[in-house]
Amino acid sequence: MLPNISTFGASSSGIGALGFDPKAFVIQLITFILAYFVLKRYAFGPILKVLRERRETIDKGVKLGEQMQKDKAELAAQVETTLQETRVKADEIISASQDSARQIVRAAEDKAKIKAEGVIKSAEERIQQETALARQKLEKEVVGLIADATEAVIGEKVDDKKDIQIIERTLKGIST
Amino acid sequence: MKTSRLKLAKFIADKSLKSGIKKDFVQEIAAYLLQNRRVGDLDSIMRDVSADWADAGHLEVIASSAHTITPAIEKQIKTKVNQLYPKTKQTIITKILDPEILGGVRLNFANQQLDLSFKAKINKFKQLTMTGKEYN
Repeated sequence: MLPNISTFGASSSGIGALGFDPKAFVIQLITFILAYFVLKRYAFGPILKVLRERRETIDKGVKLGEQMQKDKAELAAQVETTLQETRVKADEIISASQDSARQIVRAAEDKAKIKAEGVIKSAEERIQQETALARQKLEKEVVGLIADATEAVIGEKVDDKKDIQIIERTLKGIST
Repeated sequence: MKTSRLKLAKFIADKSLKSGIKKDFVQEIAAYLLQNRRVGDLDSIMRDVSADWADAGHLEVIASSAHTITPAIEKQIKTKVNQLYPKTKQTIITKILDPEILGGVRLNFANQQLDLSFKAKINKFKQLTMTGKEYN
């Protein structure tokens, strides 16, 4: 049996003097409890669910972010490693190309040297040939000049008498 | 068919030795050579004729000199030729004045030539000098 609540509220003395209405309090309590259960049944669950989901989402996002940071760091490390390897390979290729280019240049120089020596040799041979030809021509001209001079001298110096003497001497000299 | 040069030369030599060299005969030979386009063979034919004459004892010597050959020289030439050709009955010397030879004498006879001229010596000097041999 409930105490007489109305007596508590109606009284202007004791707790009533403080403004506390027990009736109202009980009703409010009941209302609160009802509200609590209703909320618990219909609100708290979904709200908590939403909050949980949100938290999970946030946690996931944080984890994802952390994972992405980690992956980013790993990727950066990989990229750095790959870059280093690539630089090393590039250096090797450049070095090999330079060696190859040097070899090509050396081979071309050797070829050019051989060709130049060949050209010089041909030129020397040609010079020798032309010198020999010039010498022969000069000898021929000198001989021709000597012969012409001799003919001129003979023409001047050998008269009838001398010619007859020479013929006589020559005929005597013929052995039979 | 073309008569060979030697046969033709033999015919001319025989005819000329028998009858001498007559104008008609010379004209006939000239006409024959012209007709058969053998004028270029004349020198060769005359050499062969000279050789045939020489075989028959009649030697013709063509003596070329830069100055006139004296009778003494002519005599010497005949003497030398007779020494070279003992069977010669008659030597006929034809003298030609050729200043080109400068001096000395050049003797052409019976398919042979004896060149004692200065020109020949100078040519020989040229030839030997060009071939690099010493000229003695």
